[in-house]
Amino acid sequence: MIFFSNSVIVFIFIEALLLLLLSIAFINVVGILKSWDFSATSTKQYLLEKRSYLVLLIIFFTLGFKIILLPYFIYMIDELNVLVPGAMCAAGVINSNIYGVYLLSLKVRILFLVGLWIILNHYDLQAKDYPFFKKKLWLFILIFFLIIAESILDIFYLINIVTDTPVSCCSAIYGVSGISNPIPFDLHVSELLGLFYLLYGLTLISALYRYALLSLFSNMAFLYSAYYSVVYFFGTYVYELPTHLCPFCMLQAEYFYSGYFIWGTLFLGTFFGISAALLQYITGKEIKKMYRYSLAFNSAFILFCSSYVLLYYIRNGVFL
Amino acid sequence: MQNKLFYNFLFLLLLKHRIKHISIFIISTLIVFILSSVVLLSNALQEEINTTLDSQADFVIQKMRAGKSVNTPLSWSDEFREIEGISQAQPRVYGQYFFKPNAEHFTIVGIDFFDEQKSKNLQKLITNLDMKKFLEKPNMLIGHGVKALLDKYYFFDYYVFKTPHQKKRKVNIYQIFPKESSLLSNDMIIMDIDLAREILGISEEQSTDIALYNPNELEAENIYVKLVLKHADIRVIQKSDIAKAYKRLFNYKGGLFLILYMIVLLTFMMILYQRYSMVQSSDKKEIGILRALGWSIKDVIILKVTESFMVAFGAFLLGFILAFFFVFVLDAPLLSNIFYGYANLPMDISLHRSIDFSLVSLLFLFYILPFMTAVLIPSWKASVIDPLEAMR
Amino acid sequence: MIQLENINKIYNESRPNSFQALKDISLHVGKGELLILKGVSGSGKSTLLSIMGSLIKPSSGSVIVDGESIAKLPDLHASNFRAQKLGFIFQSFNLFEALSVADNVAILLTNQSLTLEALHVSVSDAMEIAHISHKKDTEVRLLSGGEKQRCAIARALVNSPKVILCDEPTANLDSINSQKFIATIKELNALGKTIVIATHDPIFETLDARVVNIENGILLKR
Repeated sequence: MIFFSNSVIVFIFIEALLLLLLSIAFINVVGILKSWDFSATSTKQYLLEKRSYLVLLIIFFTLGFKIILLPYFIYMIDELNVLVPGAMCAAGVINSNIYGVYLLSLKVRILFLVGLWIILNHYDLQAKDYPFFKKKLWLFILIFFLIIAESILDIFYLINIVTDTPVSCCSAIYGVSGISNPIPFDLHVSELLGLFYLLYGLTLISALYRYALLSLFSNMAFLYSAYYSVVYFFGTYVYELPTHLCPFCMLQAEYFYSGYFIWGTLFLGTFFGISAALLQYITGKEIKKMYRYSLAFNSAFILFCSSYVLLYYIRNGVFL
Repeated sequence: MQNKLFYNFLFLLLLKHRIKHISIFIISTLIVFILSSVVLLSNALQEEINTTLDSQADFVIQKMRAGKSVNTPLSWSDEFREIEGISQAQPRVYGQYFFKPNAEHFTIVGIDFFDEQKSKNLQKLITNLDMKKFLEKPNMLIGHGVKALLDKYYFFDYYVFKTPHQKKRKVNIYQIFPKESSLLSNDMIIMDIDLAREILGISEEQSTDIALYNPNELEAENIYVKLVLKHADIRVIQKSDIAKAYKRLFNYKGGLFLILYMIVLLTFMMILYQRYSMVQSSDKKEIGILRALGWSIKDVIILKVTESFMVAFGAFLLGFILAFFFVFVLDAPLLSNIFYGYANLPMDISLHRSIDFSLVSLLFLFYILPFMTAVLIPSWKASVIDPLEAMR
Repeated sequence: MIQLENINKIYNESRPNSFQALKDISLHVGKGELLILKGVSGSGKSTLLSIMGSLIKPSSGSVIVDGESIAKLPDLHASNFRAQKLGFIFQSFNLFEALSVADNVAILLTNQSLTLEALHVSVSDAMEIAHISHKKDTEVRLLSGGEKQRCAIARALVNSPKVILCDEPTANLDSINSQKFIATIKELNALGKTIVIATHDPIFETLDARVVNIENGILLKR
């Protein structure tokens, strides 16, 4: 039973506590949304404003922990590979049943919305009349339901991790299996790379000239192409092995945990790029800072990835 | 933003209210101490087993008959040597010897001293051995547990074994194993392979099992398949299987403990909630003053939450350091018995110091999160009191 | 500096024990003016003072202090407003007894983004004006009543406020210390601070100040 693994128990316990807190916040949010009227000067409205601080406190606390928990989750999954036959890294454990991939992508999406919520809250508190108050509470309700779905998936996923039959691991999952090309649109790796750098150029332009719509789409496309580029090209330079295709192995100590930096900067860069546009739509204001952050993280990501290739070439005089 | 003065003020407040926090601090320290001790101990043991396993054979071959393993013919080992990828095949002789006076079992391990020793553990145990002197007479090396038991029956220098054929065999005690290796060698006796055969009643053409070594891990699966197909009555045990079995055992024991522990934590959370919900009028007045002076609700919440966090963090540090001392300096008296349940003889080992960052962060998360969860709502309640009423 | 228009304050509204503390009050306090709100306890003067200080929100009406409407500010901004522009002096000093004078004075600045140097300068300046510098490291509980009052004044001055609000400041002082307090108020007024004092102590009649009487939540015109 994988359930008895220490880190899994701790993880489930923490998730349960956070869900409890979020439920308390949710009940309060519903109450506040029902009778919120900023223009009112009644005692009730002032009590609601005080109550909103409880909601803010809980949301900040739990969402803050959610941010810590995602790397922890990946770390835990990575560690579980010793219990799952055939698994050498998180890829095998994640793919050991059908829930894993959905769960992971849901977690990343939630983290994205959480980041959006935190920024929205910041601008709401900065203004003197709670301009985005209702919007941010509705956003919270969305996040809350997604987190419930996440918790259910968590349980399903962890229960169904197989410990007796061998699973296939990274290179088998991501590798080129026979005729079918795993890269979408049947792209060749060199075409993929061209697209990747091109899209980076687009994010660069959108960030420098602050085109919201362009920023939204270029960052989404960049995220998509970056994922495949890392798995099918840059990753091989991290591992220094042309056949090693895996998004997870680079998170391990052998590769100096560089995966956390690679995926972290990619997430942050595209997050700021996409949410710059979304926030502009929600708040009606252009937030310059977001574009700057997007630019900085995207560039850090691309520099870091490219440097692996470059250093390999300098050291060995050939490409892989 | 909170500046340095904020923390200065926070510490002054903490110092002033130390009586209020001391009971929570003590309980928290105790809770962290117990949790950390168990986790540190189980981790250290796991680590020890892992290092031992590293030097174990990659495959162990047994011959099976009627569902039980029986002695393996030596001819098999020559056969296996031919398989590509296998660097060495070593017939091994070992077994349990029943020590009648105390109704306990010893583990006798026979070693061919002229063969290269693959097991690093055994290598370590016999490195400083004067081979010639040792083999001159029937000699043996014994573990601490064995030594203690023999002492009890006044066998200080030798012991007389009885073979299955009722023959008596006097064997001298040559040396005792170093204490660090106790986890595996506690009930162990090492002697010459032929002597061991005699005492355990194993014939010359047979061995207990065969250890196979394979330097390339990636080939393990292929070799496994080849081995299984060799004989109908063969059992092949892989090293990775043993490692997983151990890991499961420890995870299981640790997991059971953690589940019990969660109940303790939940109770503790309720105590915390109650304790911090009682806001004394003097506290209220302080908050009222701060609010009137220009602290926002947010600032007061930060103050209150940080205050609790300091208490929790201090207790965590103290509890963890105490646990570290308890496990690695005092070798975890009492507690260790939970984990040594499967050994034949009482254990006496000194643990190898091993902590990794992930372990500490796991402990930290597991303790801090419930603590902070419990104080969150009381902190908010205290922060939103009406400043005018509070100051009256 | 302070403009109140048609202020009403009802406690416990729409409940049986509801109570109207202020009725339709309009009041203007000019820049640098010294105003005395006179009334017996329960007349509503403390409530009015608290509304000026954004500690209480009015049930209706507008409050503008230093150009900023504070009648409906969210807490974060109301607090910020207090921290930036107001100095409070309370009846019962409301100091942290276990902390030193300097620490008490500095409390208000703890949440501001200031350099430590700027902070020390503000604190020692405030203590200088309030004549309490010589006791800066003494714990408040060891001070006399008059010294505590001066510490409270220093605390009210540390953020260089434009407006100082005093609620029954002499209630716990003997007549000598009350006189000293009045002298300090004069000094502060001379520095250009707008000062509002809610009191029923006749000693303030010696001050050259506008006096407004309040009774049962209604301003009486003189």
